[in-house]
Amino acid sequence: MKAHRHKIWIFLFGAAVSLVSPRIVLSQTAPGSEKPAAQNSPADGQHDFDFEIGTWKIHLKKLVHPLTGSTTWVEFDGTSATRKAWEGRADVEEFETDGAAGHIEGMTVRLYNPQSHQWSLYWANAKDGTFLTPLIGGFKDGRGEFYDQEFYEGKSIYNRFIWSEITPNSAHFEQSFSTDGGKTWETNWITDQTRVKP
Amino acid sequence: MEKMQRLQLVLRYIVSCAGIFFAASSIGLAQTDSAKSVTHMLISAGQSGGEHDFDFEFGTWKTELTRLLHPLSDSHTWVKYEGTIVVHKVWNGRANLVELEADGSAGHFEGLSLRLYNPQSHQWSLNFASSRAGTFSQPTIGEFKNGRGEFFDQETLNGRAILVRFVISDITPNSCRFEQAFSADGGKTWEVNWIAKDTRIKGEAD
Repeated sequence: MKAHRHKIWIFLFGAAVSLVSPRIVLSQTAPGSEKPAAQNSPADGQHDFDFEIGTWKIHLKKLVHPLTGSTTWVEFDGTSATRKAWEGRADVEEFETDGAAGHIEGMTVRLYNPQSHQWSLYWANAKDGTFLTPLIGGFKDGRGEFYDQEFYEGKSIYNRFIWSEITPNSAHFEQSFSTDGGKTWETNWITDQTRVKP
Repeated sequence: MEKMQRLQLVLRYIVSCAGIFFAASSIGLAQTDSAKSVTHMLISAGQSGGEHDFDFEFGTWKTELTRLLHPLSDSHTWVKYEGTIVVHKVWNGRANLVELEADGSAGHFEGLSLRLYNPQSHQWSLNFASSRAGTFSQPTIGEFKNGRGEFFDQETLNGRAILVRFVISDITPNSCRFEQAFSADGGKTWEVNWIAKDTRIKGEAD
């Protein structure tokens, strides 16, 4: 069930690219503030998902049985459409693909937290009709990494989303699971997307 | 709030560490005094499901704790505590309750850790509460492998999502070590912020 997360992305504007690049301005660095510097990643990331706004053609590769040693993958093709909410501080993506292994309808809601400068990504599969635990993280140098702890077939694991290779008309997304606290990761969901419409 | 959160995390590390030590010690006491057999027991316990993985820890322990005051801030200020840990068996070992009290230059704290074994997933969840917070925080979840326990979760530190790792290691009949670490980069790098070294004072029955 969890394996059915996907992502779709692309940079719409060259400007978006510059937004994704590391920003070093901290919103506030009050003297004596206990905010750990290492935690203060680049300030404003509220436009980091602007690239994703629009309509995309999606190719999905999905590992059928994650964390079993199996290397059987299935492929899907479909579309994804993302629209902005709150002037870009949130967005909603609708995702639909078909393949030999069936039909997947999904939705991702992404919310920007202006205090922590982190994004929360909520994925829901229409067959479950409920949001899963959000993955939380942000972009650095054009690459987005998002993490959570969740349960896969009853066992606690870490889940990771990576957004990379973002250009105005294409983007790459991967989901991976780790059963050893992030030492090793098994990728189980890969999407490549090509822009159809802005 | 931040202070409490940190203290809670620290306490949890300590308690976890104490737990590891206890577990190792108990196993050793039950069998032989060699650390090797403790490891063997832990391994076989893991193979048989893991519900006895904390047996080593039942009893009373002295703990020496050092904790990093401001995790993930590039600070290197550590504070020391000394205290006592009592680990009670619950449900014939499928759960246990750890009581921790410690004092140091940074103050006094009281902590509780309730560890629960999930027989379906064969994983333990470590649920920590400090008397100051008066509530359980997010559990770390994991298991023992080759005599080493690793437990993970995701939490919030100063408003940001981080990963948390709790490790129980160096388990002998009468000692064990606990370490808590945080990662702000998805587990690529970890900063240790809580180290507890526990030494047995009494066994379970004493």
